[in-house]
Amino acid sequence: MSAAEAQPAKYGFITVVDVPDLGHAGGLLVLSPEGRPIEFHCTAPVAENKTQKILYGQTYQGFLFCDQIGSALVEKSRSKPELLVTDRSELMPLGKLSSTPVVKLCQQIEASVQEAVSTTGFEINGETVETDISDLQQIQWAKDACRAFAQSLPLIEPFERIKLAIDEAGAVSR
Amino acid sequence: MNSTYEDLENPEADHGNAVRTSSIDLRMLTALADEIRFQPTCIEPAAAVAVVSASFRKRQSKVSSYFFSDVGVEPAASKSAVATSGSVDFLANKFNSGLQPAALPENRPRANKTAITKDDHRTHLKPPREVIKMGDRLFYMLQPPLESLLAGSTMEFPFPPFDFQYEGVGFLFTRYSAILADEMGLGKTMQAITSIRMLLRTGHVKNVLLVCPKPLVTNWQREFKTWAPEITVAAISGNKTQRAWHWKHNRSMVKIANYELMIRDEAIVADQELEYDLCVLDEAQRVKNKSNSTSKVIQKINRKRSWALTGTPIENSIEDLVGICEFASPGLVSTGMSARTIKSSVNDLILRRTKDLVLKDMPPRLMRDAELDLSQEQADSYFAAENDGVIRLNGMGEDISINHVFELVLRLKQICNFDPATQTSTKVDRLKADLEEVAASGQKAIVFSQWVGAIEKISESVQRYNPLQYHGRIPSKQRDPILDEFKNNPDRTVLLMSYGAGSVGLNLQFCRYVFLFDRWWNPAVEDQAINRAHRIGATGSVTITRMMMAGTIEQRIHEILEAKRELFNEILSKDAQPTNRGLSREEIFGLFNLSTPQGKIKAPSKAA
Repeated sequence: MSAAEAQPAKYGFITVVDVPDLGHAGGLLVLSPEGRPIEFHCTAPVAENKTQKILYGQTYQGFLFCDQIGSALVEKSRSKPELLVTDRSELMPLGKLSSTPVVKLCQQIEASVQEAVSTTGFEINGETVETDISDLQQIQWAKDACRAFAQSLPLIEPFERIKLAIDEAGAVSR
Repeated sequence: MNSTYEDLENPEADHGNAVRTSSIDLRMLTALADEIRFQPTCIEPAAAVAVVSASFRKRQSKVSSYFFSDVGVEPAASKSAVATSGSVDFLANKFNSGLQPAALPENRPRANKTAITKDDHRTHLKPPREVIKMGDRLFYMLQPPLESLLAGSTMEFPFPPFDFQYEGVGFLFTRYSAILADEMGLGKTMQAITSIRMLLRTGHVKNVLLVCPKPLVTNWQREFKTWAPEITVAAISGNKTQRAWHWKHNRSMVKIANYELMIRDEAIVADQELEYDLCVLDEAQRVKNKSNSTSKVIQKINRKRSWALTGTPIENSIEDLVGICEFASPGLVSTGMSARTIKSSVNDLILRRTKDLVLKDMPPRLMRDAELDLSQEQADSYFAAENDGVIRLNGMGEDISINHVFELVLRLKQICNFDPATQTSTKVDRLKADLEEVAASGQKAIVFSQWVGAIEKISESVQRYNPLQYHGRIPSKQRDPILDEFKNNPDRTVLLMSYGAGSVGLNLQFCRYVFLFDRWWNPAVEDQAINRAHRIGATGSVTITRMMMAGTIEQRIHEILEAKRELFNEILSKDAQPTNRGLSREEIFGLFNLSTPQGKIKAPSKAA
């Protein structure tokens, strides 16, 4: 993907939230550049599996969030977002699994992130974004894409909607 | 594995690979061609733990999917359905197209921004309780925040709305039945107009009927011009033929009618061929009594949506709320229901915020009770009248009625204002002293009285402050110019108003002083009066002086009303039992320590 390519028409915002007593639920909200919803997918809460936890060790969280929840959500997407934005570092490897560039919105600027900002990360309207994209042109494209979206809404905002929607779905299912 | 949303949504869902498609009936957003697809994933709930290898399957999560219409996304069939209904797109698109606003005055600040930032308050639309289907509920929740929707370049506001006002707009916008019961002065008018504006822009409503008290018609016209200049507004007026034409043929988006006129035009109003997408009742406490003629006519309006606006949903008793609900959501509650049942039933129907709750930084409202002593002349007249009156009432035996007591109360209250023989008045003396201070500081004051006669006497006494009068004897056409004169002429220091004419709907927030020359029977009406000045836009603290004569009927009424005011506040905020807010029969008798024919009645204590 080159920097000259058009900005995405669809942004995917993906996250995993903790559901008390039930596990973790994932949500993918595909939005237009103006922040309008195109499609939404959420998972039922997935409880942690003790056996898997032992077998996967420290990689379990990544397996659960990315391989199980995240990839299931991305596969379900019909409109195929061109850029995935997440707020969970465990979902960053989705870029490799789905061949869709992934950027992560940092909750707060930490020293390590500051360092990343200078290489593979960037800051937009006070929000810090990091990525593990290696292609510099693609980083620039992702940066422009995030900047374009941020003209309508802050990047953090869609995650609020996802959390509200997962809460709503969870409340109804209970 | 936990229960899945698809089971909830569609109990008959095929757990194989078949894809079930169901159209969402969005009710309000009927045009939206949504589609929900439930595709169960491959793992069987029972197998998740039993076989370890099953846990290593790539996909374990069950996913519920919700697709929303947008160009290029929906299948052809769905697009067709959308096109037929004529409203395709998401809310934001609609806000930024269609109606173009008229140019705002050049000197008015633009409130809109191009984008909201991460630190801005964000208001998400919340689905009403009556919306049950998951897809429908998520449709609301997944919309961009209201601030973003309204930040479109063609939808401008003269002033930036407050956060709670966005929430109010979100509340009204999503509801077919709603009661916005914000405390006076929080901008119910602006919230209603903005919601109407959004509904008109998105095409969800085409015609709106707004019913308000007659003195407020011009106020509503003015507010529409300020907040939604692109909306065409027509006030129904004129002779019978002219009004009939307005009702039937005027194509304005919003028609404004007054309550009195509704009764006169009942035959037309009740015509079921006249259908309104939205009917808004301002000062909806006017229909609190289900059996009065106004309520009966209002009920006949053929409408799809019903919104009631009132700052005082409970004026006298919980039954007032039942009456208003009968308009907003007929049949939801009924007379005789317990307060607890009514409260839970209307929980999703009513939105009420108070200034204390939402306007932390609003200038304070400073209440001061001016307890004055009767002048010697007044005291002579007062106690003579009271003694004579009580003796006469006690002498009436079983013939005594509440009207007899009431007459005495009124008589005594009038003496508290002015001595009937000499026209001396301690209140006027105090008022003149206070007005001198008000005028010296370049401020303005409103003085409320129950009687036009008292207003005229006050006017004579405070001529040096160029008083203006605003009451029931002033013809409607002259009222707006009076308010303009008061606002714009710095020499006009004081406005003398009657509670009846001036207590609702007027924006006089440039006044820093309010005087209650005498007290009304109902704290809600007094609050309405006070809030003419203490409302959004108030530039500084508002000082309210409640005048009462010590040791008289006024002080006794004051104590009872204060106790009621406290209870009223609890009804709308907590699980408290409803009570009557006006003076009951027993309380009126109790003012004089009288007996009813059934026996001695004591005035209730404050704690009661």
